[in-house]
Amino acid sequence: MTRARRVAAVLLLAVPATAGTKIVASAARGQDTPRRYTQSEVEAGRKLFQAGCASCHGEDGEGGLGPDIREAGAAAAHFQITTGRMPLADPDAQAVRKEPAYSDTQIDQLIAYVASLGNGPAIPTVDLSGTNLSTGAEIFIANCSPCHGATANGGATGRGSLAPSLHPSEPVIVAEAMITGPGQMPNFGFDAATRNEIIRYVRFLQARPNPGGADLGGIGPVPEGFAGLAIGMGALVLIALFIGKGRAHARGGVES
Amino acid sequence: MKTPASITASFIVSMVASLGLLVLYVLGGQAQLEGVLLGFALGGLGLGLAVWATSYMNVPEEVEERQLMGEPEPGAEEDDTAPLPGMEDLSRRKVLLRLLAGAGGTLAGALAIPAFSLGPNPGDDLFRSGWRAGDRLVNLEGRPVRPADIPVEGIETVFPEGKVGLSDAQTVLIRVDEGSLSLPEGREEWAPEGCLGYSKICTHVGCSVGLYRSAAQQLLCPCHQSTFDVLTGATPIFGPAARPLPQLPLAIDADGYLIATGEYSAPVGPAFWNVDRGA
Amino acid sequence: MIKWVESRLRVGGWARKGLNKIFPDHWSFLLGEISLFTFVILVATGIFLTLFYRPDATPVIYDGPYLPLKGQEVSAAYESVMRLSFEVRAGLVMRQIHHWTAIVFVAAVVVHMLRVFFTGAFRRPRELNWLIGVGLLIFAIGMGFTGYSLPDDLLSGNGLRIAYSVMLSIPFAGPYLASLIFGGEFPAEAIISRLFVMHIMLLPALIIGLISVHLAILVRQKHAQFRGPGRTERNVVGKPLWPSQTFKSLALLFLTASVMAFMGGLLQINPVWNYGPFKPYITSAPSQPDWYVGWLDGGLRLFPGWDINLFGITIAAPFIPGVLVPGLLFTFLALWPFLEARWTGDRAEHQLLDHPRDMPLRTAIGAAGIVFFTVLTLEGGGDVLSITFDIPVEAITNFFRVALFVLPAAAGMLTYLICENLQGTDIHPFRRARGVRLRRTREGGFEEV
Repeated sequence: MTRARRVAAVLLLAVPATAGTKIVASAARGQDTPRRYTQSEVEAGRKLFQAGCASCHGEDGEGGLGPDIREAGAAAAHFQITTGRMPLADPDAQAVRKEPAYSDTQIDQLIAYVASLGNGPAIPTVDLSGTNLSTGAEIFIANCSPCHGATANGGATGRGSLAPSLHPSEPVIVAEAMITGPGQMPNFGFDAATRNEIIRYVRFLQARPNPGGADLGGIGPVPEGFAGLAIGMGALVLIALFIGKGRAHARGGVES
Repeated sequence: MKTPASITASFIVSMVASLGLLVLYVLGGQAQLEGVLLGFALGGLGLGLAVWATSYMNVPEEVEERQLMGEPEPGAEEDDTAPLPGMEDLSRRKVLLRLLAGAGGTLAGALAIPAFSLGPNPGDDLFRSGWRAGDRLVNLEGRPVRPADIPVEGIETVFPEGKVGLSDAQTVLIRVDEGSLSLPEGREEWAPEGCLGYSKICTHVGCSVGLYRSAAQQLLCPCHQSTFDVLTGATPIFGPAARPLPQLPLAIDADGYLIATGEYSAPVGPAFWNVDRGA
Repeated sequence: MIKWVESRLRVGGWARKGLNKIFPDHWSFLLGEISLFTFVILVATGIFLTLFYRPDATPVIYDGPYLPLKGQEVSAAYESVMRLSFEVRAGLVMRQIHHWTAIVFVAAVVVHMLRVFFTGAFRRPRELNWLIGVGLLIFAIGMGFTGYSLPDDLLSGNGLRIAYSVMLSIPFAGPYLASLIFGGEFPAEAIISRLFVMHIMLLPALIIGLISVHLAILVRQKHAQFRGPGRTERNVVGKPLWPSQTFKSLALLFLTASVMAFMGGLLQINPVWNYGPFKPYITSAPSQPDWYVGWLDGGLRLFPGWDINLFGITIAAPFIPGVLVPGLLFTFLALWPFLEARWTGDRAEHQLLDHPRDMPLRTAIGAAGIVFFTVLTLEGGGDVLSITFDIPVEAITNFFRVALFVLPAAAGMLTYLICENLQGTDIHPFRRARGVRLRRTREGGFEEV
């Protein structure tokens, strides 16, 4: 085995989601094609919606303090509710990932209701078979890294908003974000194949393949500089203190 | 003291040759002539110095004692404040010394001027972006773009057809709700179906402004956080950028594709001293 | 053998004199040695890297083992760095040691300089060595920046773009200067090979030359020393170069190299494979230079968006924080020994070092300077601070815009007061007072408490 092959093997091992793995949107719910929701689910969802969401999004999702969500679709609802971003206590704050506020059944019901309001996008299917790591990396760096960073660790996007780290995000969540453009995120209009390529690379980054050692947060020269000064220069000053013994030079000191 | 004509002539030949080199460089250069002139410039200096040293310096021969390497170092002290022999004679050769300095300086100038070979005269490069009226907008894969390809609140990086990757022509194409636009006067027709084209090169120090906060409709530069308001013509609203991102006038051609109808509203990229005056 | 050489060169006298040379002991006198040894490590690892690096912007298709880049178009320079990192045995660790050492090298130079500043070691007769030191600092930063740019990755490519734009902002000369240095309008292909020549020939030659003169002057002038019993302006108290100081230096060399090796092996630095090859139309976030350029980047972020127009001539916003202010600061730094001599009227030779507390004004100015650079450096990482501490990046910038003036002034005044307070005492600010407490006994003697 040549060294090049060994490196390749190591890099491949670091990526559990290699080509051929099929990741379905949600194993439990198993939506592969746009799912049909039952009328009772929709009705249960409507009640939940009016209790928890209507104060911002309006009685029938027509918007108010919050945006009109009639065309948001199951994809947006799934994204926002399963990642705990909705409901949001303060309508001016950025929605961030937290524990979901509803049970799985309730989430399904809410999704069913939001999906019934219009013709919004369905929960997508992520299929990584036939994807190519390099294609995804190229698209990711061109389109995603300006906000989420080259290592998907997240970044500041001004006015207190931030592009979150993608490391905790399941593939379907990443796909939904690309489709719905939540919050300040633009809508990229990628087709399903392009989305899958990008997700393949996000999966690669999520495995944190750091052949150079600890990645110090993976956010570039700021932590590197800090480590260089604190650890590197710090250690050398300690060494100098150790070697330069006989430091009795303060006034009145005696040469040891 | 008479100034020796042969040395004077040598130094002057050197100077003339150096000046010749300068002129030749400005005119465009010619290898053989350059070599010959450089030869005369250096040779004139060398010959002058040689004649000066051999025929016009009356320094008597002196004897310095030598110690064998196996012997101990002598402790002899020399008077290091006494003037060096020949200094007096040398300092009287005012004309020759000036000529020498002149020839040396001219030669240094002639040798320094090829530094201008390092890069072209910028000319009007900084004022041209590579876009021409009628150029189709294509994305990174080279596909022409129709307004419908860009979702509202969507963003795409585009180039002139056939010039994908051309740095000066990088443009962000953003689609917004047409009704929300309030572009500067005269740009009413520049955004068909809400499609806006802005130079992607930050007007601060040139990073690519690829960070789009779609709900606020602001473009942000990842390098120094200059923020531009997309709806009002990419005017800077925060950070160190002083100038709006230049806007590319867009239209839709007969086949429904987006095209540019001319150059940007201003020179692209960071400012420089004559950015407002023209080349 | 020694006899054979001696009978042909007769250098025994010099060598003996050299080996008997006295060096005073103090840990802070080793900071200069650390700078020297990190430079030695840089040269050693750099030679290794040079054997594999290709200074060539020609596009090639990457076909190495790193799958996320396989099949992409990259420059030959970037490809060679990838090969060096993933296919050359010991290549990655060498590259990482080199980069970590570069970061520590500039830090060591700065800390050494601070020691010289705060102890007044720049005073007559050492002004020349101070000037050489300032030159070395500038070349060290130049070495760092050119090296950072060589891999031709997305992060460093944007750094070059910024450097180009700052040059462009210089009134009148800017467009020509930028074109001459970069070989045309950015992104010009010539720059990679030029950076390489700068990084491995011009700058190292200048640094080695200046270090030689720096050390020759040190040997000629003999090392300065702190005050203490038996120490005067006319002697130097310490230990001879042979054997203890030589062993200490060797120990320091190996320990420095050891720290660098640990860092190079355990801490990933500048993962260019994540950033991808440079493309002039992409900037990823966060985007920062290495720390010693961070203060310049911070200045660029901090300065408001003012293009000044004078009689139709545009003074572009980056000119003031990017060229003018740094130029003035380095001039001020270089001229400091002469300015201080003028203000204090003290033009005498000094071989005994100051305690910082005894020169409160100098110490206060130095402290203010450190705070000034720290504020700028922190602003250079403003967006990283923003995500780390969840503060809007605008608030950070606005805070630092005020802090840049307020904090150095406050630090300076505080330092001044502390110095004044410490002056009457022998208390070490960071160390417990030595000595014992005594009590008068009934008999009229003393006893320890």
